[in-house]
Amino acid sequence: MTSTPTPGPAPGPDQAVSERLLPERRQINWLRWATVTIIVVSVVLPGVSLLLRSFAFRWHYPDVVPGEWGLDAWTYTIDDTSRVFESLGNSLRIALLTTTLALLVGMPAARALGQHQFRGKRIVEWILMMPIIVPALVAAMGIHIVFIRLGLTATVLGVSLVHLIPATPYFVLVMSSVFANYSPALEETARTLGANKIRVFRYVTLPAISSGLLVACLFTFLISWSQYVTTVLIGSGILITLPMVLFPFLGQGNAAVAASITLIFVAPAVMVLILTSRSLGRGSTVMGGFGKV
Amino acid sequence: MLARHRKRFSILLLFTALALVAAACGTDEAEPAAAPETQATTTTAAMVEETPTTTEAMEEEAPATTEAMAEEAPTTTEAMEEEMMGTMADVPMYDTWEDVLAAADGTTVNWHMWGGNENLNSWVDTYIGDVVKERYNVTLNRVPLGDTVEAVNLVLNEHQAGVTEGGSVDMIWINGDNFKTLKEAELLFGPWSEGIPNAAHVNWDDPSIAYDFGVSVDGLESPWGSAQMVFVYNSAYVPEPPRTFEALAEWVHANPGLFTYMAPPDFHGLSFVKHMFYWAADDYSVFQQPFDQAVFDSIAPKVWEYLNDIEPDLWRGGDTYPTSIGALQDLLANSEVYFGMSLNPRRPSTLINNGTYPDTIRTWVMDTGTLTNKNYVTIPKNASNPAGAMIVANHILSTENQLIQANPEQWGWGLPTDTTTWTQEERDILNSYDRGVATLPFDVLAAAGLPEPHASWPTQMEAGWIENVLEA
Repeated sequence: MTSTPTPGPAPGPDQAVSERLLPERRQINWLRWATVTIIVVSVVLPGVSLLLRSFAFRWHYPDVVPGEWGLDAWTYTIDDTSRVFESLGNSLRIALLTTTLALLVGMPAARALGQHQFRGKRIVEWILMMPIIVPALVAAMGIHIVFIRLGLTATVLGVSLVHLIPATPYFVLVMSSVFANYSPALEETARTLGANKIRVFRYVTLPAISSGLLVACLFTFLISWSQYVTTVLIGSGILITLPMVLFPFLGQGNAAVAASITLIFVAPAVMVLILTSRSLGRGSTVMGGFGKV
Repeated sequence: MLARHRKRFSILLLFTALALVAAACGTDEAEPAAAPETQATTTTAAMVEETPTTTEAMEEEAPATTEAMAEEAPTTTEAMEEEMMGTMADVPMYDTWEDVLAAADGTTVNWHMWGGNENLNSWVDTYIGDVVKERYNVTLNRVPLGDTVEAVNLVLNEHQAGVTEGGSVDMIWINGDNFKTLKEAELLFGPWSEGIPNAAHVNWDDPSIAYDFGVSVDGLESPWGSAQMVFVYNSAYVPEPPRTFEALAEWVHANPGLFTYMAPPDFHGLSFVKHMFYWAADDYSVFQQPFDQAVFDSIAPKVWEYLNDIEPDLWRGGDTYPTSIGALQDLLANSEVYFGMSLNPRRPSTLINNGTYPDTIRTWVMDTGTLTNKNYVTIPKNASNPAGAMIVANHILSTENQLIQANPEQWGWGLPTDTTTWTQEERDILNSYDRGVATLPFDVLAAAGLPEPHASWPTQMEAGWIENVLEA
């Protein structure tokens, strides 16, 4: 399709429509490419730099690539001493449990907020967002003392419960906007047609909210995945997670080791994102913008 | 009907969720004391960051020792252990070292320590962890921290929660303010450090060991390493470094943008300011006394004048200062500046070897000397396993371990032990080590060593720097 209108005695209706849409479509195309370029540059380039850094032995300004290469950083990273794999397992367990807990706690809250109007709704929303405003560490300091008494310190459950504090607001935020665009009338229709609650959930509710739910779970997982201070405190330093292994190297440690552990740290997130990108693209109400890219 | 029922049910669940969140948030309001404690200690935590620092301040005594002295000293570690048995009397809970060994058999020690140095981590696991496992059946669990204050907070919180035994922290790598915090809160186990067998290798009469940043140790922590400030330069650009602060100012004015120092409260930056005070005062002994406003007022103006004078010619015109040792290392490694500093005299050689620094990096000390201090291991009062922790601390001080600790091919750290208590053979091994291309000789470092000021001075120096240099 060209930009110059085809000269003709009687342009058909189809052609007229496409001509009217043409400038807009071009713009979308251009925007799309710009967005993709920005995402590739901002996501892939630092990744490449990290990969180079992890194999670099001597890498000083103004060299574009490292002057010398080495495997020292990776040798350390895969060694038992670094505790990378031990902590990777703990991080996965904690993040998965946190996501499960967020589902149990956040779904009812999100549904109520998304579908119902009630007195004091604003206040409820505001209170739910509190953990975003108040640093989780502040709450964790007090919770630590309670958890010591309850025997929950240095346990996967205890750490997951504390990760739930910063994660719940994001989960509820995403899910309540999903529920705001979801009509429960379909559920009632299914019920009147004889479906039981489980079948209604499986065949009506779940398909409607699945992509939003995936995003909410992803957020929760990643928030738990990147927690540091709360984990050190509630885990008593004994339950080692990946950030605990990584953070001491940032800033003053060996940059090559920091780079190699960081690559392992971001790997699950990137994998999850790639695996779920197809469902995210299905024009979900939340990530619709990303889905179209 | 159905919708109304569902609505009520959803709201009920919502409030359950809210209650959980509110309970979480509410707890901290009920315990307001906890948060300020963290903040208070966080500012000083910077000090521990490069606690992986050390000097051979003690090693210098080795060459100076005569053969005669060596022969007088007990020759074997075994003999020493026999001799020391009596002093276990002061140690709580255990009467003899055999009791300690028996109590620790088959246990685990949780050693909370800064974990950002892969060489140190490997060294601790291999040369301390594996050895105490094999020899004493004690499992060493190294807990990597980003900041020592995290361990201090754990102990403080456990205390607040009433955990008087079975705590999660058995041993902490510590010094300075973190030690002061725990000592003043009376949360430390002991006294024990002068009672363990290998305490015989430590000169407890040396004030630089008996006082940790002016705080009396009182047997509550055992020395592990020692630190000494050295200045770092790139010999590719600076053939001969300035050896006085006057010469440094001249160099900075002649070469604008190529020198900077870290901003206090970073411990390196604060150390630089302390050096300026020592230089301005001529006589540093005034800083060994508790803080004196009149003395401070008579010295400080000269310091601020000097630092404000060089400020326009610092890196980025003095508009900003690096805030961590890592940042300054990067600037030096990338030749953006030609000078750096280190609290471990051997660290620059290590950084050349691991590829961080170019191989033209060298170190020097000012003619007026450089500050030196020690770092320690301590045991919280509520530790689950004080016996195991004492065994680890004791192993650290064994000559066998000290020789590994000082060996640059194994770890390459300074020693807190008095090498005159070693055999001549052991000292010969120590002196045969290759110290690295950028490391100064033992005697140069030893001659330059200056004691840290009393703990009451640094906060005033830091506040003064912020008011008169940073914000001026």
